[in-house]
Amino acid sequence: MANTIYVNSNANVGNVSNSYNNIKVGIDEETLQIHEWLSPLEPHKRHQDVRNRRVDGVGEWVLQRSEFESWRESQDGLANPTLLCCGAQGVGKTYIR
Amino acid sequence: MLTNNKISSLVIDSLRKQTRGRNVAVLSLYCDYQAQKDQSAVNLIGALLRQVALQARRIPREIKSAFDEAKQEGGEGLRLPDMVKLFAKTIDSMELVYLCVDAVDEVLREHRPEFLRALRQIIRDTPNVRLFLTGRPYIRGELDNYLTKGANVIQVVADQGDITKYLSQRMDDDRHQGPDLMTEDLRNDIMRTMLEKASEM
Repeated sequence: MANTIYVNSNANVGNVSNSYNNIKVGIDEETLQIHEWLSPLEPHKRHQDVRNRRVDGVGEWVLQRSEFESWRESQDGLANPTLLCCGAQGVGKTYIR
Repeated sequence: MLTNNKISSLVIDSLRKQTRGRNVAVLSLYCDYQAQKDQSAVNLIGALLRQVALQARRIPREIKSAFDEAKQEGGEGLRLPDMVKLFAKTIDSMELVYLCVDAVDEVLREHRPEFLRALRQIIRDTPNVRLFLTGRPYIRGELDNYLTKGANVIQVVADQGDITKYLSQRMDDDRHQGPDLMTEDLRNDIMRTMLEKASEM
């Protein structure tokens, strides 16, 4: 595999969405082909967009719930390693934007 | 305000922060995003693998050899069972893998059973996976059939502290735009009304 060259890696320090683009410029053709072959979806871009719109502190209580902590630290082989967060209708979108 | 996707992004950021430096992957799927028709089960599981590939310094060898094999056979994409197997194989050596799936109710009905079955297989086959889901309440019954029976559940409600923080920030923004318009009285009035409304919900 060709060596990875990180183009322009010193510019845009602290700007994650730009650094994604820079990494893209820097990776070789085959790596890009493999990414595309795996899936056309790029949810990491959506993540960046959503986190930029978050107000600091809002929702922190979810992280402090005991259900969250015991899920996060649960041991392998648990009967059900799943945590579901269920938003009541009206929280968020349809209530306050 | 506190939409499901913001909870998901908060959870993802917090898990990444807490596991930095360890052999742990935090992978996300936002199902309210992009053309829903592209969100087939195989593309969604593939998007998890794509993130593994993106986060690694170089393409993991399991993915590389599957790609080379596919190329020799005409370059077609993987079928879902093979994608699931490849995912399980690729993450096998990791200490922990957090899968965060936002808005699972927004996956099209025609793709959902297949996607939920794939997730079920992943959590059964790979003990190092922890699955985090968000969804609107109506999807609960369907999820229980596949995945969430016996799972921990957090109900997201309108939290007074959240509302206060959110409104303060928004009203500060407004005040910068028109200091004469957003008076202290108006500010208090808005805050009181919103909190009252929220508690009636």
